[in-house]
Amino acid sequence: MTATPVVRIFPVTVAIVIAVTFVAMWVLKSQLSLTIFTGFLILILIGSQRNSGNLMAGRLLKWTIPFVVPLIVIHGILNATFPISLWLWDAVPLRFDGLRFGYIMSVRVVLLSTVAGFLVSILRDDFVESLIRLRLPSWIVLFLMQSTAMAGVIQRRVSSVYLAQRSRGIPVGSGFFSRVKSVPSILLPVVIGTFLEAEGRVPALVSQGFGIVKPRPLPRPKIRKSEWLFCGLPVLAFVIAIVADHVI
Amino acid sequence: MSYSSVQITRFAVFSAICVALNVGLNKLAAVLQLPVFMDTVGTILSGALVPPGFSVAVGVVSNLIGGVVTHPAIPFYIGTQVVVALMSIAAFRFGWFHRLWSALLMGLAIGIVSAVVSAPITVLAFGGITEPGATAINGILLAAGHDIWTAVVSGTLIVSSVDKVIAAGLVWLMLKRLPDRLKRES
Repeated sequence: MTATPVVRIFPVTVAIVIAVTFVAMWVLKSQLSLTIFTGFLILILIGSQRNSGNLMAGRLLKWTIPFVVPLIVIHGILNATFPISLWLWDAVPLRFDGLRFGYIMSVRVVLLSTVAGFLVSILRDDFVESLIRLRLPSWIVLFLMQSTAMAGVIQRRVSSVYLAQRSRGIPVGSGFFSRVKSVPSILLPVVIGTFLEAEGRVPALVSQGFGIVKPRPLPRPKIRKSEWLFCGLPVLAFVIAIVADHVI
Repeated sequence: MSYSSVQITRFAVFSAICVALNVGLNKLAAVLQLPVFMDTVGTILSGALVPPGFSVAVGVVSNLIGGVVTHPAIPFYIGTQVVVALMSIAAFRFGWFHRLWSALLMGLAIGIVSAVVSAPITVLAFGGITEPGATAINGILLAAGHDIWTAVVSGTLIVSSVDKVIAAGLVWLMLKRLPDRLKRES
């Protein structure tokens, strides 16, 4: 929820992308057509980003490479349950069935990562507003929003406590067992501090009437024509993939 | 059971911190280069701090947020988090987190059960690829001629057991240090 897209990506856009993706995964028979659909979805996602197209591409690579490379290497070379099809330089066994299996799985991982890319492109305010518009009880909205906000806070606190403990001379960087032993010295200050702080936040929230007053319904967001057209692009990608599926 | 608005707000805020611990503690595993996930510490801890429904919600929401913040594969393991939450709720109810040894045993049990629940997802959705430590073990076992199910169950069992034993030990330690007024039974 950090990127700033050229076209504002609303939760409804992401809902369309998710629905179309699930239908595509069920309907498209050939792997090539699923690859075409995935490729179009990636183009739509990266094209929708203003200055952060590279950032989004980097994020997609960060999400997919740890899966795609092991999938290809493990199943295409190592997995002995697939027959060897070819020896490379008389040393590396290539297994075509394994490579095919790795490819199929890789496309799915890339597709899921792309859908997640759309999700992270939703502006935080739009996300909160859509939660409120669903008429969820205010404590559910609080729970979801605090969870997202606090995850970042905890990560930053872990980093700062880690540095503080290192500067005090606590061995947090040497061998495996000393690193395991050093976990409590970092974790406990973070956890206890965070809970005590949260305890103080509860009376403040309640004194402001939180949880007592029913949330007021918000007006529907104004979605421009171009943004509705953008919602149609994933559907267009799906139609192209369907045509490819039948032609191939 | 009905709760006052103060209690519900308190449970919502505490549950949010437990979710944040699940999502944020992988940072700790990363800075200390530990081959574990640390993504269930918050779920296990929530069993002692919030009612069962909130505890299960902590597991579900953790994986939904983790899917956006950490990796899109994480939401597929929601079932594992629910199982961890249910086992932790039972463990706290029966007082298995009062002593370190019983907490560690409970961690081992959670690790074994969650490995059994996770393995089918790892095989069917991701072709046996998961977090790097378990993937390395899976790769070695596959190269040795084991089928994908044996390899993934074995690899996940090893990594998940270590991970959950560490998580249970940490939760035991946190419960010792947290003020009693923060715990649900107090």
